[in-house]
Amino acid sequence: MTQAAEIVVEKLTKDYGTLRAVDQISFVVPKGQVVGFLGPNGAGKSTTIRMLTCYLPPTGGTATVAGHDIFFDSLAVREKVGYLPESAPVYTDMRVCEYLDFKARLRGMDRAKRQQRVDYVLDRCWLKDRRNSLIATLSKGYRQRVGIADALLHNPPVVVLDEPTVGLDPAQIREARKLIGELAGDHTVLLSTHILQEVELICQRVIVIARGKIVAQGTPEELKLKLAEGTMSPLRLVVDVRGPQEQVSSALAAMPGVTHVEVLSSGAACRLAIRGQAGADLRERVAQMIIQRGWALREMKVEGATLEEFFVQITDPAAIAAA
Amino acid sequence: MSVTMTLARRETTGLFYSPIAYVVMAIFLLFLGFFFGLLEFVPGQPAGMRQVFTLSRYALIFVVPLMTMGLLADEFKSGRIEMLRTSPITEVQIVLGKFGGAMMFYLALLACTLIYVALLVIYGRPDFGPLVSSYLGMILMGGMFIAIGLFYSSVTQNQIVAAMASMVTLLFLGIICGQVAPMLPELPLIGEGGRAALRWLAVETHMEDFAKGVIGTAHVVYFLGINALFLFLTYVVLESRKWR
Repeated sequence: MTQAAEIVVEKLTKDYGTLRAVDQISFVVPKGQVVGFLGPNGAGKSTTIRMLTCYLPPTGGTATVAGHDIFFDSLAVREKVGYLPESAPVYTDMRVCEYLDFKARLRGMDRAKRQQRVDYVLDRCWLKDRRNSLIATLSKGYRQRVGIADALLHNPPVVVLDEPTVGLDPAQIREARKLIGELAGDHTVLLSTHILQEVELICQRVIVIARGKIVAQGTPEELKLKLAEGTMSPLRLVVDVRGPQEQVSSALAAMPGVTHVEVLSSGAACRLAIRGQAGADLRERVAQMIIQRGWALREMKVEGATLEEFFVQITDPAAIAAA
Repeated sequence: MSVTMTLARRETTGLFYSPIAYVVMAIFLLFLGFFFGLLEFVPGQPAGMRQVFTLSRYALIFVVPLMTMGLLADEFKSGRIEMLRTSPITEVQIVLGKFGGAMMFYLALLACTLIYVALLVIYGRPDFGPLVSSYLGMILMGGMFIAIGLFYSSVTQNQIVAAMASMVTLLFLGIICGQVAPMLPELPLIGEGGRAALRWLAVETHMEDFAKGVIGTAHVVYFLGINALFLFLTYVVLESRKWR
């Protein structure tokens, strides 16, 4: 049984003059899921998000959000979307409760509803004690919370957050992630970030975008498994060897079944990461080889694939150009 | 309608919160009050405010741009335009809301001058006809000035540029057309038709009747027409900026 798709994007394109910022991307966000939009800076995440929230008109392609076309029915889209822009712009000369009341009025809520919703989001976004503070006096973290509160104010079916945790301190980040995670189910969340942990922690699906194109899609686990699809094993063997770094590296690289050797640190003892072909377990052979050559093997450990490595690989400009 | 009202109220509150607005208001009233005391509120003078109205016209050429310069320029500069554009509101509502907000502030400014009327009533027997029509003229003129200021605020992110451009336009309409144009010799290109056109563009041509107590439709059309024109142009600019 397929889930209803809340956001459908088809060949969406955005050109800024001759620069193609978003190049015919297509993807689908199922209803009730938290989907992460991941990519390096300048990849086109914010541009795509701005098109979906009707801030920028697309140059080509179409998209529907909550059943409404972003170009022809943008007022309806905007009513159903709660959006936190990257810069979290708010009126700094207003108080927190005044600002939220203002936004609630813009969304056509009557007095009773406004009071109820403003109280609710103030509570949910941990702003109760800053209710009457002038926004100009708030730190970035608090202003971000006001922005999130604004996005949730009218209980929208779709919540779009552009880099929601940037600029927050670690405690605030943890709270924000908890809040976003709690939104799943009742709301469809599209969140853009370049912080990989975030994606692993809260997103059920990931769309990786680079240079305006989608380079990968799937659940975080699926993406990690994709590493194994290439000639590289998803596992990394890290060894700490006392010996001359260059000789150790070349000896390891020369071993059959080894595809990649990376030097992590060198000095009296060197630390190297070894990658092998898919399915190959190199541990015993590597240990034997090192000892036979007379070097001291101080540590050997196996590291699982991280999303970070996948990300670095997949967003490598050379790989994209070749694709 | 209520969206426009919400935007207008927010704008008025914002203007009252800004120190620039208070300083400008204070200088304006100080200037006017000084001349009121010097010229009108003098024993022997007829109980009226004609000269004060004329002077305030010139003062508003500088006051209104300072009031309107930030209306849209600041929204673009701060990035808040993104928040506005992604809310379920139309460009028309934004333009009318901004205009309405500035207009309410202007009306508050005018209301402060009612103290002069009160003084005239206490110490004299002013003729109410010209007073009422003069205030009406001021309101219409204010609307036109604000619309021009709002337009220039929409084309740039820089408030100073918006203020300067508005002042130049208002100087042209408010002073140059009226004072300088008749002094120009009959140039072959401009001719009599050109001179008449310049005379029509001049604000004072249309304010004269209001000062006398006459509310002429032709003059109302002038003010409302230019007001509407610049509001429309502002709307066009807002729409077109979406595409850049």
